[in-house]
Amino acid sequence: MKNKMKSKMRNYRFKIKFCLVFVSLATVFSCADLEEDPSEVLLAPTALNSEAALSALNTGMYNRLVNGSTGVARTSFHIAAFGGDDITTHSGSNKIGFRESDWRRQTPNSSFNTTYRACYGVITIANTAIDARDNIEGNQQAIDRLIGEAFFMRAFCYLTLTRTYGRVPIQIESNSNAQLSRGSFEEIYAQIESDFQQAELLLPDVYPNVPAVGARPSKGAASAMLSRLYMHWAGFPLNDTSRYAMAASKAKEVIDNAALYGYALSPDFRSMFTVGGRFAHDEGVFTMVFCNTCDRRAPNRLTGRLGLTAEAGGWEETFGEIAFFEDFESAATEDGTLQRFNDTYILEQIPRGSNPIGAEWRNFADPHPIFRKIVGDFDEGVLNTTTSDMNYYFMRYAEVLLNYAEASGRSGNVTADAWAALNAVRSRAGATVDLTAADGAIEELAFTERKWEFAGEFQRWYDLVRMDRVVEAFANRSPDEIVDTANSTTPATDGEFLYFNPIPQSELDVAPQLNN
Amino acid sequence: MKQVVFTCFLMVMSMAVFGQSTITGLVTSSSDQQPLLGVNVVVKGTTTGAVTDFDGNYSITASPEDVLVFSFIGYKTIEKTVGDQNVINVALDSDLEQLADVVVIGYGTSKKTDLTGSIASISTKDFEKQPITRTEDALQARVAGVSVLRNSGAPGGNIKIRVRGANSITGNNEPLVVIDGIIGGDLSSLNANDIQNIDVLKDASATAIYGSRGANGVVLVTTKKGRSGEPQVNVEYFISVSSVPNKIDLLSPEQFVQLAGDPATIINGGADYQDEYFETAITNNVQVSASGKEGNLNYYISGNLVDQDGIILNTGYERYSLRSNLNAQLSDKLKVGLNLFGSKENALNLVRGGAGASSDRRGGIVNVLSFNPAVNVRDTDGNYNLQSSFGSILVNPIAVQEQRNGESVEDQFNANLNLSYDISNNLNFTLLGGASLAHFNEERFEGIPAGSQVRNGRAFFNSVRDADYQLSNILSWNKDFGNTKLKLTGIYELQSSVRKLESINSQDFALADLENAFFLLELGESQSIGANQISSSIESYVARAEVNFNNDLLVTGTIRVDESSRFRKGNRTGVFPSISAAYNLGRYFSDESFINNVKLRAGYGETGNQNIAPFSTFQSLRTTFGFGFDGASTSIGLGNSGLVDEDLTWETTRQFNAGVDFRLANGRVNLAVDWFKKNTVDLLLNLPVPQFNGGGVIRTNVGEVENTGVDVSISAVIVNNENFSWNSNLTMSTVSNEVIDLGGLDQILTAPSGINPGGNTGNFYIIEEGEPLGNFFGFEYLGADANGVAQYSEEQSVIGNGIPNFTWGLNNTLTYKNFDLNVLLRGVHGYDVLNATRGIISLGGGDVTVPTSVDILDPNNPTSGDNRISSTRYIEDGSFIRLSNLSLGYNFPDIKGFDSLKVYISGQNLFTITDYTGFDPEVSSSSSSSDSTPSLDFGALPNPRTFTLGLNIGF
Repeated sequence: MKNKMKSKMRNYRFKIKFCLVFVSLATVFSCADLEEDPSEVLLAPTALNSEAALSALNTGMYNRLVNGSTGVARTSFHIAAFGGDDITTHSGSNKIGFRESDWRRQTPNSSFNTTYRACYGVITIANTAIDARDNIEGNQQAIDRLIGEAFFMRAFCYLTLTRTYGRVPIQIESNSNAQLSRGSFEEIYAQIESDFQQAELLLPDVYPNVPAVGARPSKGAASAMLSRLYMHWAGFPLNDTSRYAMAASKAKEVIDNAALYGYALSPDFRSMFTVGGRFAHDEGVFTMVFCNTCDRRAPNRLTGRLGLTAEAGGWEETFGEIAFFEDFESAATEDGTLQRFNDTYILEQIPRGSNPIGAEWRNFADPHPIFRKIVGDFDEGVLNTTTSDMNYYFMRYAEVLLNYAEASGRSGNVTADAWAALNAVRSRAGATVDLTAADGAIEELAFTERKWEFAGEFQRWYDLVRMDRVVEAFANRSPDEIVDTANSTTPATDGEFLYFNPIPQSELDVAPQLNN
Repeated sequence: MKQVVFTCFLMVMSMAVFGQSTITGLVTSSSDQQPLLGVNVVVKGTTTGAVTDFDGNYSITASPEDVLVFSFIGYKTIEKTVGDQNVINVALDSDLEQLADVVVIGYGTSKKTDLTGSIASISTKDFEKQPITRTEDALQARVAGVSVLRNSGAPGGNIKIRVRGANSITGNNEPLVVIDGIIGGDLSSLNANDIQNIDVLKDASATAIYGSRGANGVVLVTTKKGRSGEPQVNVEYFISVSSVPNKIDLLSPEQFVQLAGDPATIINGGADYQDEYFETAITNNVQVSASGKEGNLNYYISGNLVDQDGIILNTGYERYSLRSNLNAQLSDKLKVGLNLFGSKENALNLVRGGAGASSDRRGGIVNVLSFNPAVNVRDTDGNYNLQSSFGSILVNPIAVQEQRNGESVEDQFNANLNLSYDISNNLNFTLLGGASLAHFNEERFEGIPAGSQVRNGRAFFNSVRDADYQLSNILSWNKDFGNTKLKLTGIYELQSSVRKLESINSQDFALADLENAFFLLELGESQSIGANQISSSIESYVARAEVNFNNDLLVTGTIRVDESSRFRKGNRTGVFPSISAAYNLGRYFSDESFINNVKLRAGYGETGNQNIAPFSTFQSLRTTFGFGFDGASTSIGLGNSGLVDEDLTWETTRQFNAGVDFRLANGRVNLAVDWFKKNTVDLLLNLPVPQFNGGGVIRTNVGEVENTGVDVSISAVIVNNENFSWNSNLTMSTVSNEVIDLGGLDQILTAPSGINPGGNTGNFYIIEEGEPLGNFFGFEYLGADANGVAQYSEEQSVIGNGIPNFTWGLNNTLTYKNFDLNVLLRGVHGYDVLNATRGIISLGGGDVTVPTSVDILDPNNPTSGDNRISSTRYIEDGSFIRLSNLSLGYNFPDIKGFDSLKVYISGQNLFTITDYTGFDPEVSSSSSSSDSTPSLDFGALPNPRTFTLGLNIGF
């Protein structure tokens, strides 16, 4: 009886204890917090209200442009430029994508998406920055500069896109998922013009805290880019020749204010294409600065072994074309610009692999000249690497001078200043005798001068396109140039993608309306 | 006379009284010598009886001439004449006809005969004949409708489990794992020897009880408990030797140099990179457990050590685990159980869960096969030959692998408390509280980082801390109304989880020749850091009613309401109902007929998938977009992280299941057939965003996927003699999958993230309406032209499908006297593999300048032209039949001092019948969580062939 009682008591006690445990546990857990608070860990777009945030956003644009190592840093960013008569690639192995662009035989499948992805990546951030403009508080001067830079970056990227792919969709709104179609060239150029004009208004003459002029854009850079835009607008495909006068005038504005903007030709041509000399000149109008050792590593992967032959343990990605080399050599001999020729190509022995001699490129298994602008300085050891801190110049001051000279000629307004501009570039290259009207039409002399000046810098192709001289240039190809006999293919002379690369298949997959 | 009669009567009486003595004894199960609780012991022809207690003991009064009848459900009845014995111990043989297993159904149990849904169960005896280190292996080929693919041969690598196909295109299709009632368990860290049962809930009427997390099926694991009787100690040990089952035919150094042409030469004799890379691996597995019952406390404690080498140089896996399962009967009404489990896993150089072998996706096995065979690993001075201009342009894979030290350490601690209180005879309240803490640390040093260039060493230190809590309040009410039995269950449950992450990496160390610099990260000149927190919670209300009408008609209905923090208010609450019924036709069959019972089952249910990352409905800015304007130091940069759909909500799967169970030949043959149709709607679908809108994807609720299929399971006792028995178990499953709707899109083209074999950045999978998931998209290969140039079709089209549509497993256990033999065969059929590994080495392209495969020597094969990896040239039939396990064991009888002693030899993966030309058709380089990009072999790690020698001792 007693035991039963005890057991009952025990049960009772347990019941109470048990209920207490349950009640207390239930209380602790009873209100699950179902509201997410993303601000703890995420940075919401509403955080874009300060000058510092805007500044970080602008930094993000450069990150997207270099895109780790898959933006400007990659040869594939410059895929269209392989069409130029200055640059070619290995005839086999894994370089098919480059060769197809070299020969203008590419298809959406063989087209790299590097340029496309990197440029729209920049544009997406620029759209966000420009849309946030009214919410930003802080120093108005700084805000204007940053917004101006965003306009510049957006315009620059659209210019790069249209030079590569022709007609591209124009997205200038942030946070939109509109299914856009391709814009017309008129619409694209007008958008670029408008953005560069905004940039001109907002950017300072000199961008503060840059390691060298050109590392970030100034008002002068926006004007210089406008002159480049007008050169294209005046040429193929719209051929609105009235734009040459505008190109000349914008270039002249920059030249006249060169001191204000801090632009000057570098006295040492070769040094611009070294790591040590990357900030030691004032010629960069817009320059991609690389950082191989930064926390967010962003090396230049266009250089070093990419341009070397297999005999020197190279990757054989970027070579010089034979006819161009030969023409360059004879022109340089004639003009007295052999110094620039030697700065452009490697002719001496290369201290790597089986130590081949550059000038004896005809004996290489893949017989092509080697660009010094790509391989870099031997002493700096860039040639042993596929990553470096060498600059890539989107635009050098030399182009502004040559734009002016050429546009002056094409707009029929040739001045002494125009000749002076052309001769400034030539004399820096080593020429001792100035060109005059007796030597020919300034526009053609300037056009040819650009050819040598920017050889191997992934620029020549765009000149050929805007002057519609692509087929002409291909006809000049050396008979020694390796033709892909195995694949029995030859360079195209017509076709859909003769002038502009196809939009990458990966984008067409997502936005099939771009097929039209 | 009267006295005589009386005396005689007394004598007889006293004889009778004296003859009636107390008989005691122990009743055990003959199969495992475990005591049986609740066995009826009756004196034949009387109503005198007793029941065995927790320890299997009984006590009964009987006379010498009496016959005791021992009967117990699920066991054969035995009769014993008392005679002059006072102690009668009995071992009961299990009776297949009566066997009525208890099945865990989620928040409760049910008798197998009462099931209405589609639930498959396996227990220890189903896999104990196979030496396993991973719980997933126990499930493989043993459960119809459950596909277990060993995606990677890496020890500790991810294993892909799918229950009845893949529902979601971009969501996660992994089944929910529930261990001892705690939701969200981890099978990989579990000690397989601790498992008592695994029950897989397959159809929605069974999984709907798990609501928003049940759509992919539920794997319920129940760990062992101590049983009454003598303390039992088991020691099990095995050692295995593993190796790569085959090699790929590659060019010899001489052949390669000839093909590459000038200036390629043989350097230091060349090397066989497969021999350098693969090695014979040893695995040691030790398992000790002790279990028993003392008074009101029963216990099961175990420890396990797995030490496994990988078949790839410098890889391996170790796991240590301890478990303690305690259960106490505190009073008649109150029981408490506490399960504690701790484990430590240490994987050496495991990359992406084994989906690859190198931190660079182009590296690892692809690089081993494509690296210049004419170049030795080292030069004559003993320094590495790091790169070559011919073959692969990537850094020497042996150097990378040897100079790498990546330790992934995961510590887990799980505790769960189970309180059960019988409020009345009919009403029970159970409280389940679980906490699971995990700490993952990756310490990685890469002396020679993989990649296309020789770089300085780099080090990583990543840390993840998980804390998950669950509290379930379960109230159940049972009532027997005579013919009708009713069981009602109500549950209120809360669960929350928090994950905190930090990551640091650094490179360009100020001091040269540092090794394992993950503890010296501060010496790196470039450093990067990151931290994050991810938390989510879910609150649920669940109800279930089970009705049993006269054991003929069984009906179960469930409903679950989940509120998840992952979605915004208004889209947060999901309601998941289910109803199912079963009807026993047993009464229509006589006991003598071949068919003993037929049970018809049908059910419908809705389940959800909330498997998206927390904060998915909020837009954010990315913080990792830094840039160094001065070419020396990084400025902080921000950028867009993509578009989001703020109205995101559950993905819902509606499943209909119909099944029939046959019991044949006195229970010697059991057959279950289930047909299902699952429609998943409002898919959590990642729609690609064009680059001009920022690229990436936007996750939204559109589209529909349908899976239909049949699961068949047959178990048969083919022979059952005194000396010889043969049990066989066959499972077969078919699934066919179709994308019904893509929310207006014609197609989605996709590729596994980060993988672009051959440098091709295009997509090579296509998702289209009316087509199954996993379709390969590529070019038709038309052969080589007269110049040896590869030719392809102009247009891309569907060139294959990577999801198997038929799988089967055949598990045979034969015992002859003291020998036992287990043979497990399994087959996977009806799918293709894109053999990108072969693609990369068969023709130049991408990162390979000169091919290394002997394919190039075949005059029919191309020697130049595009090497399109996603083409019919590299699509192969992946179907295979594999001898998964072959074990032969010998049980030593009656060895003094031991309860049992068994030795066995075993082989896993001894042969594979397949047309696939790569290492292994089962493995894939795409993540095990992906179903839209399956069966891609781009350097996937093959499963090894393994020989095992083992010893089991019981005390």
